[in-house]
Amino acid sequence: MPLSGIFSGLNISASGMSAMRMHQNAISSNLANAETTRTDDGGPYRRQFVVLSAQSDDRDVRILNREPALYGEQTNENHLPIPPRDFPRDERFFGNGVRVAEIREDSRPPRLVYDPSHPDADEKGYVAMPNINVVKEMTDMITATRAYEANATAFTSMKNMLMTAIQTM
Amino acid sequence: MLGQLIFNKTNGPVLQKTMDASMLRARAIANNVANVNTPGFERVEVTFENELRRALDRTRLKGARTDQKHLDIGRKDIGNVNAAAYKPADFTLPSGVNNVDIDMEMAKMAENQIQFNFASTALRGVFRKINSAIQAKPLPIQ
Repeated sequence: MPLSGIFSGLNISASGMSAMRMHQNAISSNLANAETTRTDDGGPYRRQFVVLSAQSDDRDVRILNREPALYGEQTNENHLPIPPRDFPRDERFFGNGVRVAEIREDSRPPRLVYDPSHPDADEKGYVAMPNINVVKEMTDMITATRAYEANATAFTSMKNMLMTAIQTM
Repeated sequence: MLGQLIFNKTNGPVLQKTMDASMLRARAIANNVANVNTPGFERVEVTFENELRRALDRTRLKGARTDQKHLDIGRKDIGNVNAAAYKPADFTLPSGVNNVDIDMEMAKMAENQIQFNFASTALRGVFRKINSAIQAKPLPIQ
């Protein structure tokens, strides 16, 4: 998704909000299925989680890492400092937000609960329950909510700046 | 033409550069906030004020450029002062998975917005003064 122009700041925050919403969806799904023992793939429900990855922006790489107009070697201490030819420049300098790289299933084994009356119990009376820790899901949910709010604040700040810029005229 | 004659003799260019830098910094902060939960992300910061301060420091030497091939010596022209983004070498883990400190980012965001609003208001004043000079009408007393 190429992002450019003055509104790219809004898109950065929007990408963060979108990723946090997806994180929230995964958590909701985990909590709703905390006791689900049957799925289409067979076996109990498996915990889902999002893998976040930073997005990089090609446009900014060009702007921020443009070549110096001039190279120079400092062979004498009276020489003026000019960037040498091998001046270090970061190739992936500036990003434009975040994206959900994938939604993974937790590979940890299911939790075994002794309940012989359960229809999905094995011959020893154990039921394979989803590998979900409700407390962890709740803390993840708070993290996602707070991160969403932070992104929303950044969005509002950027929006106010753009409005101010327009009103300068 | 008008820019060279009038605009460049006011505070306009400085304020314009300040607004450019604020916009870039707002993007950097938005990017840091968006990636607060991304493992291994590296925070981006923007430098501008120090370079601006050096460019505005009248006590510093400045070489005159009478030829295209001359190097810039000493104090820079305001037109050559640019905000630059960089990744600070910070190996702390305030957020648990990367070096983004959400409280710091929020504080920087508020500061940055105020800076932008200040530059914008001041620039509006510059334009009002230019306008009043063109129209030969004195500014109303405020």
